Amino acid sequence: MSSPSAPVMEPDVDEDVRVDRPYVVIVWNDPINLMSYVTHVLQKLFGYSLEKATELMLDVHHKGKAVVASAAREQAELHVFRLHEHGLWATMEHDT
Amino acid sequence: MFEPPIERTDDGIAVRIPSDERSLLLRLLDELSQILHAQASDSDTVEASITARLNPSVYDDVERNEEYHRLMGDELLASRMGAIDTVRQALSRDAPHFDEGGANAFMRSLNTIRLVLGTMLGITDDNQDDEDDEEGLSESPEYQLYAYLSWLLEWTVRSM
Repeated sequence: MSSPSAPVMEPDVDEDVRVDRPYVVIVWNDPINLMSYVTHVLQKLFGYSLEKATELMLDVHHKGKAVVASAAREQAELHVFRLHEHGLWATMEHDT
Repeated sequence: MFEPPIERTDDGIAVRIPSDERSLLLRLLDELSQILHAQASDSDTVEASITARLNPSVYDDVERNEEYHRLMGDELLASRMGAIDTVRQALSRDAPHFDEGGANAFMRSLNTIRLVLGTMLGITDDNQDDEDDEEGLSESPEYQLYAYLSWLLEWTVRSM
């Protein structure tokens, strides 16, 4: 095997890791949405069991927010869109 | 004998509320439609707070957030308007009935009206407790309407 004579370009590791890192979708607490409604929406949109959806809803209520999904950017944006359609306060950010 | 206002049937949900309450909901849907189409320009107004609540920031990054709303904003508006139209048609009949999709449109529209009303009223976790209702918020007609919509939404969720 021959060794390369041209200089090897090192990838920007930080940038690559950032691009590949999934996004997390976060639902935030708000004083208007009903607890039963939030639970129902989480079940409907993500297929969670009543127990899991209730657990997430209670995290939102008591801790102020909960991560409800993790996905690549496009899919995460779709999740956020559907949560906004249902009136939930949702954002997304890179998973840490 | 008490009859639930919203009840599951074999093929969806039935809405069993008096005609004056249906008329009220239809009027609220008209107002919601106007609010959704309005663009608040002054960031200090209640209208701006409503716009912000209905279209929350998605990213911390300002440019990315603007790009998201530029791409998805119209689709979100169209989705909400589609739901409102579905509900309007059903509530215009004497015995309103929704299939699964219509029931979801009804649930979402009720909640969107609550979001608008709750934002206008400045609802917080604290002022919903009777003990902290120092300003007599719960006595206002607007709050009574908000409470009515919450009751109706609760029954709707229960029937889904």
